[in-house]
Amino acid sequence: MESPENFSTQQPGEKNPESEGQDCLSIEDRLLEADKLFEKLQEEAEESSNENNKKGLFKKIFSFSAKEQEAAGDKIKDIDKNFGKELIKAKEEIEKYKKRYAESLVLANILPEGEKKLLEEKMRTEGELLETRKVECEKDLESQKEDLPNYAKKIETIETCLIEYNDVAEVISEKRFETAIKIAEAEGALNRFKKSDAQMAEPVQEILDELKKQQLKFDCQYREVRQRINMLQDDRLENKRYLAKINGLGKTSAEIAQEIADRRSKERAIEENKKSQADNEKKETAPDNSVDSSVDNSTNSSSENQPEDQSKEKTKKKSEKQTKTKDNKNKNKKSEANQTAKPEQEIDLQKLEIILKGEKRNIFAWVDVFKGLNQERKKFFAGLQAFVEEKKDKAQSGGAFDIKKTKIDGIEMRTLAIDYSVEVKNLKQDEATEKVNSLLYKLVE
Amino acid sequence: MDTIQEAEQLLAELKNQIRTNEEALDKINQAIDTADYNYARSLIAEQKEYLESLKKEDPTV
Repeated sequence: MESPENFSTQQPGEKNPESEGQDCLSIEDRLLEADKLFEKLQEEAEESSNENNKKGLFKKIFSFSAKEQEAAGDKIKDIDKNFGKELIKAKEEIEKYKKRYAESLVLANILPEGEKKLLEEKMRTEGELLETRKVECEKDLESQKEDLPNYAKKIETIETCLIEYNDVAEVISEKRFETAIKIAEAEGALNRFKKSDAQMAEPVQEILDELKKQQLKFDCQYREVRQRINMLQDDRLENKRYLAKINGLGKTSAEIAQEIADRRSKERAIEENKKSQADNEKKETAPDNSVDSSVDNSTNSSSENQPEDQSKEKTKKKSEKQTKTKDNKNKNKKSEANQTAKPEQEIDLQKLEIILKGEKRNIFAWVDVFKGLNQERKKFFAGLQAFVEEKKDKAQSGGAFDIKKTKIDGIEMRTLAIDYSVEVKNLKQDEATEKVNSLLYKLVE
Repeated sequence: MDTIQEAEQLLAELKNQIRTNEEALDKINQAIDTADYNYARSLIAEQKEYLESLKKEDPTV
């Protein structure tokens, strides 16, 4: 296995001494190098040589890629300096011209007819010249931009690779989690056997040692994959920066500010649209609610007076009544009835928070509790545990985080689960909060 | 008797876990290798494509 230290030879943004002079190499030479590396990689994939060869090859590829990235960065700078700035200058001159034109219009009114015509002609010619110059600058800049790498495609590729590494990380997390549980079981059994049956203790000890060795291997694999993920995330960020830089070439600060404002207002419009859609959906479910409460009111006292801790029983009674009264209704109605349960769950979140605040446990114990409640979410909590370990690892800059000793309350654990859903599962903050709350809701039930 | 049976069952479970883990460790190594290969391949293939397009535009370079 290739060591992660050698996976990437250079951090994004860091100056690569080898890259100096990359620009001096002809495209032909650079292409030859790329061809050679590509062929070697194909051979490697077919006959899989020893680890050192592979390590060396990857090192060469990443080094080559870093050099090329840096050369492209320099090219962007050059284009900005020679063409972008020129276009900005042309645009600024047009702006100045517009001001002068407005002023000259005032002046023209007090001039004799002949001079007025001359002035107007002069201004018009100047305007046309400036406009022509601007168009030429735009064309030049666009043609230069075509010679740059396709950063949008690069970002897409990195994201595809990130998905692949994240999938591997998730599998490792699951195995680490399974193994940690078995280690805990084995340790418990070992302690029992030491007291009651020394003969049995010996094989258990051997198995325990083996499990611990395997756990260390999983840890090592996990660290390696996380390092690759971090590296790819850095690369993605770097490529996004380049893309933004290219998009900003030849734009004045006023244009950039306007673009930002436009983008924000678009995002706001989308958010508002989503919100109004959600409101509409809620309104659509409202008539069903009133039917339900009228059914309730006919047999029970007012539902508003029900204590919160009876809400589960109430939901049960409700669904029983729904079954009786809506036997002849179609499947769509059933799904609507399910949706009506949502607001009740939201109300009970206060209760969930009380429970979460109640006790402090170590993360391992929390994950165990949650896993017991949500067997089907085993994978999620395995990933979460690994994420927490990783996060704490970073926070403590080095030293291993003792997952068994650090005690936190459930609210803090919930925050970590939300962070995990946002950072690893790529959910939005509100989606993540909703998902985690619904997972933890079983604690109330 | 119960304790022995229980112990044997636990040992069998733990041994099974070790076996599964061994398989998983191999598979994960392979998966990491594949992901590494795919990433390296896409990096170099894209760069090759880019340089080829530059050469096509200006064959004299």
